[in-house]
Amino acid sequence: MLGASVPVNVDVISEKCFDLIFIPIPGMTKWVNSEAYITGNLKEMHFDQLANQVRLRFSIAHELGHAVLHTTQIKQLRSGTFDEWKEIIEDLPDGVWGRAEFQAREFAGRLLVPFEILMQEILKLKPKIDKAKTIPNIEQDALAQYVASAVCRQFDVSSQVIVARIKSEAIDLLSV
Amino acid sequence: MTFGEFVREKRLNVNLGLREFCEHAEVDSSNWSKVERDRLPVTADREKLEMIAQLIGLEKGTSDWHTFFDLASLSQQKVPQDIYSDEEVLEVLPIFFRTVRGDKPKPEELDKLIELIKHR
Repeated sequence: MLGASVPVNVDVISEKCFDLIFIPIPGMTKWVNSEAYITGNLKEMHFDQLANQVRLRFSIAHELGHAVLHTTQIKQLRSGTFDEWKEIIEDLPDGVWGRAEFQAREFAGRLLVPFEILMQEILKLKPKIDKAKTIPNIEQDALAQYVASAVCRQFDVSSQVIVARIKSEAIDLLSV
Repeated sequence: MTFGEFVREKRLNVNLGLREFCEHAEVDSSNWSKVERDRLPVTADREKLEMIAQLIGLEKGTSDWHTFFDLASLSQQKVPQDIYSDEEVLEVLPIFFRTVRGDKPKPEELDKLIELIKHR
């Protein structure tokens, strides 16, 4: 079943379950400083196929998050002319934009790093975590970095994503 | 059904995303995406087509196998369409457009994006 194991196949989930058409846009990162976005009609995923593949996977999951969570806003903000569109992007309040970005980022993290599987991976590391805890004054952040480096490949995400997931799920590694 | 629609459906039946498929098939993903959207004719190279057909799970001699080659030959007769119209571009302009920098895009980046989308 899609998504029942890691790494989660976010491309197939997007194409098959959300019927998104994947369209590579060569040079997107270079020219417009973006690796991926969901289109305003919520039908296409544009991405830079030359971007770092691990980052791109997260960006695709992030954009899928917008498609799932922000459908109403995206539909309401669509425009009839190029100038109107540019104004909408520029005038979008930072609060609205920042909140939507945070939510999409959280969606991507939860999709690519499911809590239950993350906990299983952390428990596999318990003997090593216990050993690390014998280091005087070892802190949660250092343990999170250690765990992240050890498990990020299984999820095919960067270690920063794992650290963010540990934080967002409030996993207390000092008590594992 | 067009060649592009047919291939996309079969590709997803075997859980192959566009990027993974292109890697296995050794085709340029930008061009292949155009083939699946029927904006570019598929190659006439029989050997390559057979490899692609097998990759998407088609078996030689089956009805799907024959459909694949019938639709491929129709695709090859099509004239490539290079540029999308302004109306088509307006349809797909993104709203939550995120830069790698982590902030909103600059006006010149928005203009460039319109150009890139026209040729997608």
